[in-house]
Amino acid sequence: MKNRLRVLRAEREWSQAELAGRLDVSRQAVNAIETGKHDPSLGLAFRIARLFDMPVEEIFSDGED
Amino acid sequence: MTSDDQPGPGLRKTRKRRRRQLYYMGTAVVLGALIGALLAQPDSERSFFGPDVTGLTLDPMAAIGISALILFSLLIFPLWGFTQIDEHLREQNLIGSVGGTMAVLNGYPVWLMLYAGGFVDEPHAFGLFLLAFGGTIISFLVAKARDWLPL
Repeated sequence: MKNRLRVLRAEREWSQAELAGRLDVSRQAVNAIETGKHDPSLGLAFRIARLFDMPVEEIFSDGED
Repeated sequence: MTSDDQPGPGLRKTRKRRRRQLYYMGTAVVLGALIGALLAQPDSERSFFGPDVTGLTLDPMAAIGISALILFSLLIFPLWGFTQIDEHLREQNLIGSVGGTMAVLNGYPVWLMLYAGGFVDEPHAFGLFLLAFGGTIISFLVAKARDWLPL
């Protein structure tokens, strides 16, 4: 699965640790999602979408398009 | 961080999480050392860590106390720890647990076959415990290494 998390984070000038705290996950989890090593659960994906005030599908895609 | 000298709310939470994780690991090390010290008898033949664990004798009250400590350290404390970590670390922990299970499921029959062939000593309880423990730690570290490696 692909995502735009790194870009969205950079736009807000947040560090991985800052984003991790806002999502209530570890910095390693944010890094793993950004690098595509971990696909977040549906619950976490929705938390991310809510934080960036965007629909989930604008942040995550299955890489098919 | 939103500013160089003022950490944002997210960073403060991340630091708090890291501190909590360090306390957890410190407590785990202390509990492990305590159990190891209590079980390591000077006479190696009768030690929990020796090949003949059936020779181990303990005062009944000490046996109950150590059992309670082991249950807390290897069951209650890790289960509580599972509720404190995020889904990514939980996934890595589960990979570790599967590795430990696989190590025993495969390790015991292989060890038994090698014993039957005269290659190694008879399988013993502490060896199987070590297989489970080693399998868990190695599998966890392999899963964790994916975070560090640029793959």
